[in-house]
Amino acid sequence: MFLSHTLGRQTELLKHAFHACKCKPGYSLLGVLSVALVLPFSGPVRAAVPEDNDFANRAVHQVYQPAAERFSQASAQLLAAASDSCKLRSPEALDTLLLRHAQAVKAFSALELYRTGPLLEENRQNRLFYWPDKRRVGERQMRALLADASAASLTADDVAGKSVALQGFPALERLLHGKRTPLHFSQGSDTPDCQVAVAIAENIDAMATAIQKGWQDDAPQVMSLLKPEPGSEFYRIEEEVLRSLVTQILVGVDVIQDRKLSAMSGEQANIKAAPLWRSGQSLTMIRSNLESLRALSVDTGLAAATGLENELAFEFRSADGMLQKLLELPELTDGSGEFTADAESLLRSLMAVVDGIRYTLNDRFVATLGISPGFNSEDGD
Amino acid sequence: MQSGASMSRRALLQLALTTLLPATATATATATASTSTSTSTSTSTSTAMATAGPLLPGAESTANLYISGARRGPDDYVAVIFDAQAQRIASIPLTARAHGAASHRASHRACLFARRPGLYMHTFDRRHPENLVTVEPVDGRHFYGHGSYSADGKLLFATENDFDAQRGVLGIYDTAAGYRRLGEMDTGGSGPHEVVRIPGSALLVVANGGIHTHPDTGREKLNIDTMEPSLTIVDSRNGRLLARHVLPAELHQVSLRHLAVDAAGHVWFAGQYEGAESVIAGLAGVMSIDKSLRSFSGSRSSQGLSLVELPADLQQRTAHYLSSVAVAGEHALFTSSKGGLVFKVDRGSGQLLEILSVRDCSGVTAIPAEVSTVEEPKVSDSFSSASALLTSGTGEILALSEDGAMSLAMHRVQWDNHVYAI
Repeated sequence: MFLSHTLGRQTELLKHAFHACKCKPGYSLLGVLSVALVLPFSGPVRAAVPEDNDFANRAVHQVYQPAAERFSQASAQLLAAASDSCKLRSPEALDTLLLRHAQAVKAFSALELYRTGPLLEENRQNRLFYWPDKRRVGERQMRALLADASAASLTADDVAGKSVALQGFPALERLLHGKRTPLHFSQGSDTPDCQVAVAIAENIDAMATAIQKGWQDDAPQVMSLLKPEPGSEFYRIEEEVLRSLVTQILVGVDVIQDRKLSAMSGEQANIKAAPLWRSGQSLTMIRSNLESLRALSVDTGLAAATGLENELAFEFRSADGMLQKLLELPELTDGSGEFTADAESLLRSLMAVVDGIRYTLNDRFVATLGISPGFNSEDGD
Repeated sequence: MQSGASMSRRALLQLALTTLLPATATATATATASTSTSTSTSTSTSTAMATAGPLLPGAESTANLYISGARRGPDDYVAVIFDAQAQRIASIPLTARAHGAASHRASHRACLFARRPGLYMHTFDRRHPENLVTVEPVDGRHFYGHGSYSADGKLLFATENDFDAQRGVLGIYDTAAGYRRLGEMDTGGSGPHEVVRIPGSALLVVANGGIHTHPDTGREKLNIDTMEPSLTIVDSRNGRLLARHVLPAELHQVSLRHLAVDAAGHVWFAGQYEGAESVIAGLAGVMSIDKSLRSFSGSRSSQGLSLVELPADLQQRTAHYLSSVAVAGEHALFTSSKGGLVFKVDRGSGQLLEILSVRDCSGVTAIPAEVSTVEEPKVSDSFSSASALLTSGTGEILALSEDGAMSLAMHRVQWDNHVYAI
């Protein structure tokens, strides 16, 4: 609303009705405290950049490549299961497909926040996981696609040329976790759901293969990451490599906290605002996301270099433990999708722990590494 | 019978309303005379203008291009032009950190300003951004980071600091003559930052930040205790001051810095608080051009300025620092890099609608309506509702839509303060 405001000799009163803000700021006291405590670190902090470029080596060989390999394997299994399900049209084959879908989601979530390199090429990140979709674009487009006579002969190339909302895991989830899925994937079904699922799975597999290939040692970006050189279009100095690693970790935690967990918090929070809720994989996805950031910060040696290895490992372990408890709850939500009291309480605790991780990273982690966490925030205009 | 004073006000209002009519083809630069204005500026061409290369992909007149300054590494700054998919299509090395930009689409003219105290203004044809013409400030002036073209694109008005007189000026540049400096006019305040032109008119709105700086002391702020920020309306045809708002005494340390014009001709502003209070109003607001012109008397306008009420926790979260403002459809969008957030305000009611967290986000610009539906088939169906683009110091470019903020790309640069559609 506008404030009434006195200007010069005359008071101008604007009588706009007050409407309470509908926003959900989505940050806790701890979060505010984190921001406040980070502020004193204004101005670039440098000079402490560790000389050990083994960070990059470990990131490539112990984090990125294994994650990409697992995603590629899981996607290949997903495609095989989709093809089998389409051929066999049996409940068992559908069960296997659902299992492979869940495994592929988990494998994707383990590299979703590695926002660099092959995941970002050809818009793969959004093509694999178009979310959030509050306007239900994916639902409308899928309905239209299934009603199209050509859907039965859809290919992966066709899918790759369509809207991002039809290309990845959320689209496949709609097909595999709808009320009529068992019917659509059974013998005698004349709907094209099964063929469309195969085409989407093949598209996912093609992207997973490209990502896996893009992380191999001979990929130009990987070579540059391992050995930055002046004039490179990727990385010219080690500080740029370090900044990239740190940015992935910091932004990754932001995505988990501010986009995914925040979508599940506040009054009237509903699981339907969470990613992949239809298949019940919201928490599994976040768990895998967090593990991927633990790996990038701890397994690379970055945490050890900052003296925070034990602290960060403990905080990530605490978050994982809370997610485990959430997953073990007999009831996560009620019939309408609203969280039970136990779930709400655990989610709040989880967010506090993730806030703690963010504070540790924003504060001592980046300061010790000599990477300033902000650019505009430190020296704007 | 009306008094002389009333007649004078009416005459002024008539003049002002005339300026709101579609601008004439040329705005004559009959600015108030000042020192060192008529000399042409020192120019240098980074590459020969005559050797324009092939047309930049996607740079046809209707294509959607964006420009932002960025940091690539230590003391390594560039200007990057990217397309509607957030894909880089040109990268221009810079000698120093950039800040704002301006463009005139019909004539393809564009320019990029150095960050204050700015010592360059790079001008270019948006179809051939590799061919920069560098304009340097005249003696006794430096650029302040922003500028705006006249309606016909023949003139460019740049905010500048007359640092010895502690006076804000708008430098006037003849775009067809290699951006020769024709003169200058007073902004009606000190420390001018952003200037915008009301579309279809010759009216320039200037955010005078009120902070004195001097090249001898770099970016040091010299008058925080006595600063007096203001919003002014200047007739670009003759330099006349047509309206002026000064915030009340208790808000005198809110430096008014960034502006955005909405479809109704209202100007939204974003400020940065330099004081020590924990909660302060006046960080954001809107100025009615019409009311501001009508109520201008003496040296001030008494009506036409409204502040947006922001919750105390949001004010604290922003650290009382708003980085940029843009208008997209029915919303005014404000970023705060210090708060790592963007918030959305309903233009009609001033109601705060939504807050989204985006680390180190600063640049925000509306996606121009005529090209908001991007051509790329893989994206168009799903992102066509996006109304604005956000840039962050993390290198991320995001699309803002009803779905929230969605990542479009992550570049290996740190995006600087502002992003513009050019």
